[in-house]
Amino acid sequence: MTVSRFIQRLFAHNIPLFIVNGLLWGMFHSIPLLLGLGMQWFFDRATSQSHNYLWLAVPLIFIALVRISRVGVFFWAFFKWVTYIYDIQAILRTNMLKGIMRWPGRNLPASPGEAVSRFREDVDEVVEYVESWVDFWGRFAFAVISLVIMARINWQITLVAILPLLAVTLLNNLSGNRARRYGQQNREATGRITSFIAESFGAVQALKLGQAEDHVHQRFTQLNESRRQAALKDNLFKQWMRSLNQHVLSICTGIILLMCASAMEAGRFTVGDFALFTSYLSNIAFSISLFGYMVFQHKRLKVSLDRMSILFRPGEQDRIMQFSETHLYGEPPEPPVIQKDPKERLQTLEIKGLSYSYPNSENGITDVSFAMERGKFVVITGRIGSGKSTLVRAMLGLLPTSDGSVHWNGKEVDPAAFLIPPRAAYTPQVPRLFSDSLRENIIQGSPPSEDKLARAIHLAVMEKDIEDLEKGLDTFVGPRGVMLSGGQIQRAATARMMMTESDLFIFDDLSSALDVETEKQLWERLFEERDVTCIAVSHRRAALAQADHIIVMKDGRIESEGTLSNLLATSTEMQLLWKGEASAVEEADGSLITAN
Amino acid sequence: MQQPKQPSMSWLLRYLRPVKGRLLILLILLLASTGAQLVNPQIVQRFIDTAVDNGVVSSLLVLAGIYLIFAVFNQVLTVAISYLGNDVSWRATNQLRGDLLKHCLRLDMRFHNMKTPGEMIERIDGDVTNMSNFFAMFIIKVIGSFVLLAGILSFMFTMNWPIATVMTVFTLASIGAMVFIRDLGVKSSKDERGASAALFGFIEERIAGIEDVQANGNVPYVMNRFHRAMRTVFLKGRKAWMLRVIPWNTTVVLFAIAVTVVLLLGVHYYLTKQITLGTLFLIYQYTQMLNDPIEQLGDQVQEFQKAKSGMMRSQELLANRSEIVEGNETTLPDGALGLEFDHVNFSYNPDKPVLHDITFSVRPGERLGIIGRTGSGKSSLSRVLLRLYNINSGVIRVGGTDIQELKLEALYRRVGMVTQDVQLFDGSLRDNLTLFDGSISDDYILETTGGLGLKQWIDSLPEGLDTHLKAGGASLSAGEAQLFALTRVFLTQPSLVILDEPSSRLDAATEAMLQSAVDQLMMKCTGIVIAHRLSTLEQVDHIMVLGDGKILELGEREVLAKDPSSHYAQLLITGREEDLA
Repeated sequence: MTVSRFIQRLFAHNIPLFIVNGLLWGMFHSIPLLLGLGMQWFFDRATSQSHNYLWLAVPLIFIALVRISRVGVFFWAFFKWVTYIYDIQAILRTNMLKGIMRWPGRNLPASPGEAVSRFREDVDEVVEYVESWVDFWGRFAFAVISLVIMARINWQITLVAILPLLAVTLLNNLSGNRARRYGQQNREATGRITSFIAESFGAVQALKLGQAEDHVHQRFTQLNESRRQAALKDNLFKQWMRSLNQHVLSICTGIILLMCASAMEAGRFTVGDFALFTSYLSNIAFSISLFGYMVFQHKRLKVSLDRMSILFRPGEQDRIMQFSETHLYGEPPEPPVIQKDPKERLQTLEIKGLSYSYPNSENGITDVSFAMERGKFVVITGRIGSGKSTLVRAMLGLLPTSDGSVHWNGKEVDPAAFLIPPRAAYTPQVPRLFSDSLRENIIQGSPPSEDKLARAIHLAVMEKDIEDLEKGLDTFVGPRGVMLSGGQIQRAATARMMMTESDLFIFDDLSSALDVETEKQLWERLFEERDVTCIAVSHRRAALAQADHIIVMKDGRIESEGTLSNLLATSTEMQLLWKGEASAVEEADGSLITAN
Repeated sequence: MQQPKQPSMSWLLRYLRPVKGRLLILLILLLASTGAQLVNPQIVQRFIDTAVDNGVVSSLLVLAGIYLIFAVFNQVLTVAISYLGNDVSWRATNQLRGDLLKHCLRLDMRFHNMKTPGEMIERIDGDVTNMSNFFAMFIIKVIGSFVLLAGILSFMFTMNWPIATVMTVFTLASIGAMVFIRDLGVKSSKDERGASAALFGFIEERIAGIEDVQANGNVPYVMNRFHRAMRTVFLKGRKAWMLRVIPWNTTVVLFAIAVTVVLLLGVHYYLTKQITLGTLFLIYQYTQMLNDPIEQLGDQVQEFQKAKSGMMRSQELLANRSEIVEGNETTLPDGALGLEFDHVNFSYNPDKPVLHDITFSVRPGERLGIIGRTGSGKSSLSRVLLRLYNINSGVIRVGGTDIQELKLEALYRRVGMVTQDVQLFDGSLRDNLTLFDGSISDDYILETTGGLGLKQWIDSLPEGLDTHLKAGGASLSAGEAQLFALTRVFLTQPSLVILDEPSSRLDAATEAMLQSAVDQLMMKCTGIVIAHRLSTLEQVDHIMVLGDGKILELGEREVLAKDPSSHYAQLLITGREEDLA
């Protein structure tokens, strides 16, 4: 999308607010017209022969009244403008967040901390440009009207006043590339800072234990320094352009003054006219430099637009300005309750020829196919890096697969959009909780139902933990759930998944942080439920023994599949994994290391 | 309003000390520019008087020329001031950003457990950026405005003292009004910053956990929460903006009255022939000029309110003291370190004991395995040992020294931990391994990773150690991440190492491979191994079984294994039963 198209659609998004702003600021900026006229009025009276005090005072009082009413207009206009600022921020951020949420999983083009700078700095850049547009109409009206007034007094002089407009526009147009380059460098430097802060605090425990505070501080100082340089360069260029605009205008003002002088000599020009001209000229000069600056901003906005667009999936970039409800002026409605569609009830699930490879890496999965039916328990196993988690994530549409398809009841579906509750739910290998209460983390905004919640907690074997927690379900779990233990996080995430009452549950190595007994209890409770369909990534015997079907992954491909007894008889890889699980230490001989 | 008198604001001034040379130059430039601004109307006055008197065109040309030169000069100054002011502001605020980051990193985990990374972005970068104008321009502009005001007023005094007196009185009144209401928007600005930090904290957290959000169909819920957070920012932000502009508007009104009064007086003097028309115009010009510094001050009051709210938030952050008080001891005995817990009690919250009267010791070079169900206190034990939290009572000794008397640095240099939760960040593989310590050589990294069997993996990466790891280690499998965390700890050559569930995410084959590497590296140090899996404990000398924060059992592994009534033996049986199932 071009900047012009973008900005048009932005205005169109809340056109009444844009117009109100334009009108009010137009009023605010045109009021100085009256001040100029008032001063002309005053000085003309002062130079005339009649010297009545009151008669002279009238224009001055008029000016005072105009000034004070301008403050009133300012308040009103400012209120509308501040509203507009947040309106713009809200629509852009809403669309950006929605856009990000359409990406497959964690394959985002920016780190979360860096993305924050796009939500902040780049959105602010747009606001700044819109501010110029809001000011534009009033300043434009002022410039045109004052030019007309001036032209009626002396048209030659007025003509000279228009010339700088052309020069300034041309000048700013030429600066486009450099403006963009400096702007981009500045933004990138800022992105590195926000990303670094987020990453540091996300890994704060590791940094503390590693005594890395000083090293982190040092690196931060370096990043700050390069941002300072980028920001200075960016700002210097901005100021320089503004200053060039001013130079053009100063020269013109000088010429105009000279023309005025000769006109005054010829008696065609009064001191009052001169007061009006000087009063208007500085204002016109300011307006013209604003117009020039807007050309500059327009060129520069491309940087921010590109940076924001990158958060959208390829082909979706135009959705940055799609119409979205922002719910700024009233409480947003509760999210819709998920309804089960009986027609979509799981009968069979088929994966056909799924392939994905990580960028810049040989890892991934190649041509994986399998099928399962309702009520079955499928376990995916394999050694580290064999592609187990990749398979699950690719299947769920959390990774952009290069090939393959997913079929639900025989019909091909888009996994990212379809394999979500109430059809399928998933617990990642390292689940993330969010800094809310434990209850909120489990129910995730679904309508409160204590029965459902109790059932989910029971299935996740979490009731005792909740009893032990000081505030029970209302315990604040901290960012990423740090207030809970690893096992508690994993089971809270399981409860979150159970809460969705989906047809298909997918566990990615759910049991890895649980002790043997808790894990056993969990599987037992799960299989007490009727009609449960599960896919679990696991290398634990507890899971393998319960499986209806086992898929053994090796180097991103299905090495073998079948029932446990079958596989133990035929697959060496399975034997290795099964034996290894029994006594890992005894197997720790050199041959395995080289085999890997 | 000169420098605010509160000690709180003067705290910021110390960040200006390192840049005082630049500030001085800035001040000089500003005074020069002020001077130029004062001269300009003089030229115009001459110009009018010459023109009205039908002066020669050549002298008019000279005047116009001078006018131009001053205009150009002024522009150059403007650019220079802006550049230098920005420079000062970046230098000072970067200093503050650095201090905040360092301070926060040093705070204890209780603090970090409450703060999201996105919120920290706002507190370390956002709040400070909000103050940047204060650093750059506040003092300079305030001083500059005062000089300009004084200059204009004294010019006026030379022309006509009653008019000048009136103008002075009004100017002082305007300034007084501004000082009086300067704090009007501070509180709501602070609320605004808080709302904004909450919003960005929310955004960052949900983007980081995008898989959890998507795969559980929670996107509509996240959007709903986002709308609420954005609406809060809007309501608080609008209030803060409106309150902040009030001081500025007050001065505009006062100023309008002042100009009218002065001009009315001027008219009086003009009618009584005490001043010329040119002078009347000059008075008008000067009153116009007074507008600038007064508006400038009004602007600065707006900035002041923003800065003060940011500063209050930053100070709050800096006022957080870590509960962990360092000792002074810096040396520990060489070689493997012994460990001793002496009647240790610990709880996260006062009424929920997590560790209850724990007493045990590990001799240098020995290995202790700790087992227990989830929530039995295993992880807490390692956390208090590393002083991530303070214990309530008792003593923990490492190498015979109470850890409370040790400098943290001395403790961490010798004690390493591999945690359950592997924390990786967006950055190069090297940075992730060395935690930005530039003094660790690549050879040493490769040697250590080789020992852990990671060499092939690193070789397979396109850019080796320079490979960029995505946030949260998205490009690593959880098992790889675990190997990774081991490498990180072993790079520091610890004398006491705590492995907290080191094999939790490894498959058996990989774990076996790893185990020998771990054994080899643990040769030279004391080891504490916390695990759920019995197999990982076969190499330890002693076993401790924890339950509900108490030691249920402690003894030599072989002895316990032979005693059928021991918890360990029981667990071995459960484990075998599971194997058989």
